[in-house]
Amino acid sequence: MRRDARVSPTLASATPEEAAAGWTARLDKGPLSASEQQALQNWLDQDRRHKGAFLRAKAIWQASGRLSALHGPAAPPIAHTTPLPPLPRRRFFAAAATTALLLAAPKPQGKANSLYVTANGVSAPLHTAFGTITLDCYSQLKMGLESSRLVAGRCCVLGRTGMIVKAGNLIFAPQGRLLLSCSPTQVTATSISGSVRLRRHHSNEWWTLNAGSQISLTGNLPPEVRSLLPEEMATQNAWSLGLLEARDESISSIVGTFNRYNQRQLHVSADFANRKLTGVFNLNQPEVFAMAAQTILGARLTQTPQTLLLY
Amino acid sequence: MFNNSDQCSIWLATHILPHENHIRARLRRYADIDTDDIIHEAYVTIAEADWAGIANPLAYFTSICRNLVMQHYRRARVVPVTSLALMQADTMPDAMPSAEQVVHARQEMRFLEKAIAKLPARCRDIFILRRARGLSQKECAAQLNISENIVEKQLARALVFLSKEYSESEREMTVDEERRPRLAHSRKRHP
Repeated sequence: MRRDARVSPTLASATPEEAAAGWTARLDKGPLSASEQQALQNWLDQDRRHKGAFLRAKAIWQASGRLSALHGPAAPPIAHTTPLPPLPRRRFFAAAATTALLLAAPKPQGKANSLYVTANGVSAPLHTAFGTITLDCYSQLKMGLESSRLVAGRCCVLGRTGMIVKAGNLIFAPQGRLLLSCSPTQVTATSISGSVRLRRHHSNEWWTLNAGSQISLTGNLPPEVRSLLPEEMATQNAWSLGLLEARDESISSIVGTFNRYNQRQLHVSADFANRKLTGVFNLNQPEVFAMAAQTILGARLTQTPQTLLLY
Repeated sequence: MFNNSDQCSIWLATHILPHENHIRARLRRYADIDTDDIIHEAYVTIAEADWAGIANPLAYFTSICRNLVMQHYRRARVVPVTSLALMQADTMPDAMPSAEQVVHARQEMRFLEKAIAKLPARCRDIFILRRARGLSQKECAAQLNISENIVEKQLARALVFLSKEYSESEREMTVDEERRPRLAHSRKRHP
């Protein structure tokens, strides 16, 4: 790095990159004075490429915020990366009293132990006394008076104090938005916003999962916890917002996802199946995706009421 | 253009910046083209567009750059024949990098981490305090016992350096062995 890098935004000799970096750092410090505002505007108006350099500098500034996922927040000054110890397995309801304090007794609401099952579509939000649960396609949820259990598939829980959702061997008390997935071998929970407290069955140890963290539990192995990047969160949360986020994903994989959610089935010829696409699509509009793919791939599209064929 | 500028910057950082290296490599093949100019112009064009509705950012970015190169050649007196042939051969699907070529978010983070490590110590400390730990410029200044002015200048230096790294460095395309996941927060409940 040049030691004499000219970073003062108002220096006439500064390159567009240097001036753009200078303005970005200056804007980060606080609001501009009237004269500074004018100087920035003059610089931007001088050359369209100055605007580009400025936009790019701000994008790099934003991208550098990813470092927080590695270094963590300021407090405490030294980020302790405490490994999550295995949760005890055999303490049977020892904390029933504390749990009762923690979780206000829910009022009876809805039918006891109703089983909700979805096919190729996301459910409408199911209301409980303490929030809502939205079921992904091909999922099953048992809703009881005091708690609900995700039997299979995925759900999105928007909970407040009192919400209890179980999946596999775990019990969750979310205050915020929580994504849950449950298969016979694994349970995964992702805290999208707010936080979620969780414990294993027969355990009195509660853990807190903050927004941006994900816990996976496979059988009796120790749980794995990782922090997610904003992009990963967006991708995982997309289905609950009716979106499909593809990041360099093969067309065949994207088509597979669309077909899980829609009656109208997409088919794609082998020529295009392994092509990669990146983008955000409406999960319920396979025809819009098909048209975008048609344009991007230079493919042909044949439509019938039940199918969309890209070839 | 600078309304919603934060959202626009986040969108550009997420959807455009990671592809820049790939696009620059393609642009460098064309004769008489200033890659920086094309990239800067492309950022403006994208920011002025309805960027939130862009379904395939890479394809869009590629096509914008291609059009800008074409514009440049239209204005030029002499257009290199090899470049024209390249333009015709460059089709949108060809512009799609394979999975191995795309810099994924986590790789991007490793790239940033390595780039930051190359900064001079003080510049790096300030940048990490501000961008990784989230301290304000004022708090950085107080913590390091330096003036806010120095903090601002050092942040700008770091940004110039990163800008060059994004432009020039061959990004590492292999995924590092994942580090042991960091536990964001865990707490034993005290009854």
